[in-house]
Amino acid sequence: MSIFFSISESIRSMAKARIATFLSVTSISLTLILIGAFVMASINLHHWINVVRQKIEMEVFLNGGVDKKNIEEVKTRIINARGVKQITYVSSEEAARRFEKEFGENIYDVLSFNPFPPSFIILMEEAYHSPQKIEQLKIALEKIPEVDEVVYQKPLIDYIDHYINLFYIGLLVISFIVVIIAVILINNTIRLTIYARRDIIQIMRLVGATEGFIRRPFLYEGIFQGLIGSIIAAALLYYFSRIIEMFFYPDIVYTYQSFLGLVIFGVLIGLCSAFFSVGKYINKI
Amino acid sequence: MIQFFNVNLSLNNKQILRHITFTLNRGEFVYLIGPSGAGKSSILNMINFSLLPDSGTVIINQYSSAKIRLKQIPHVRRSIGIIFQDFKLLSDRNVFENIALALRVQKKGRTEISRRVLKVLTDVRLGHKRNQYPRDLSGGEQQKVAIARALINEPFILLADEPTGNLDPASAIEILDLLEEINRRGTAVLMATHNYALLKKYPHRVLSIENGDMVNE
Repeated sequence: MSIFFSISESIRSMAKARIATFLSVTSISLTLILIGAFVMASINLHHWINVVRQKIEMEVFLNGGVDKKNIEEVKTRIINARGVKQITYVSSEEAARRFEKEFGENIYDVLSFNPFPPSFIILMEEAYHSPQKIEQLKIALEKIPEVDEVVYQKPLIDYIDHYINLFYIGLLVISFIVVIIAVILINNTIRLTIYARRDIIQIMRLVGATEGFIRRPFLYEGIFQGLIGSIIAAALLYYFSRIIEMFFYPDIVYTYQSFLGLVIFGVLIGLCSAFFSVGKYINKI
Repeated sequence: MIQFFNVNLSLNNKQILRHITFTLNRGEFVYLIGPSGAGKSSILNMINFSLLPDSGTVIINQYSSAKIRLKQIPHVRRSIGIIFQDFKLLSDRNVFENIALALRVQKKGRTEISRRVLKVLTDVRLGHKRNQYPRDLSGGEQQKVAIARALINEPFILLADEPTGNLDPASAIEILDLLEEINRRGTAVLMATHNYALLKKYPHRVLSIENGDMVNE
């Protein structure tokens, strides 16, 4: 009974302050569209970077005079090293064939001997895709006596790591700013509706309403504004993603959970801003 | 029972009430008279704990201003009815809903609300106007709706803050008759007014206040 009363009061209140409510819902929608777009961009970027990182190889060159028995031992030690997912042996002859395939010239014609040492090509586990972990693995492998040199595409990894961090920090800062803007607008809407409803607030106090009972409709109002704004944002983002998927980029990654998360986030923004503005303004009535 | 013991009150650095002491017993009808700004409304606001004294004590039944907790105040207010010069009705709700609000805040059920609102509307002889909006009623009728809302919780006292201030003489008499009837049924009435003509027509005990001081009882 009390819930129905509070809900009907909040609907009545939103209807009374239509323009403020519209502005508030619109601002929540725009905020969440922006945040949702950032989240989707981050998920897709993360996915793309993972694909790139999975292709990053580490090459372990062995000393020239290593015999076959030693190679087997080294192989076992590399396989047992932490972070190694897959290992491929490349003999000196195989390396020479690859050179010829890649550059179109036989190495014996160029140098009259085969300079390529035997090597292992390693693919790392996902947890070993960060620059620090790759470097740890490199150091560990270099400690094997038969290993001459360990190389990987360090500049590429450092480049990805540097710019990805900048990108995430940028997104975080922009998201924080737009959330603050939305909170200010909701705060303002609730302030206006409290002012518009000062008569009923005074009367409810006089007839013995508890402060919690008086505040509840405003909290529901915040929740409704957040819910409506976030459903609009989630729906628009979903159809936007579908359009991108159909016409521009079929590999786009999006999950239904992320849209649900957006709606929950919108409701929380609405509830929190209403909670704080009611606490701030209702005692002035 | 209402008791004021040596109550002082100041608002915005201005002394509003000074050393106010009086007692109002159950079932009494008392006038609170004095010019505008004398402090009459402040006394009524202290009775429902909208204002608390700077010093001295206000006792409303078992509750003391010195000890009352904020959570207890709504419960005290449910035992006190209050009406105003400007009626304080909600223009976007009909008569029934205006009165029902006092029960809705206590989370009463629909059937109980209907039964009690219709009974109190019958008591003030406005049952036939339950679906009308305040704008469709005369001033006297609006004040009767406000009285009905104040009585819905069967309060032990009805506080009336210049209840006839916005009414024509005939309506004012009608409201006073209604307040007399309510008082005869056992509800105490404390009426703030500066309409001295009414005091002569309906004589009762008088508390007089001027510039925040009680000048006679």
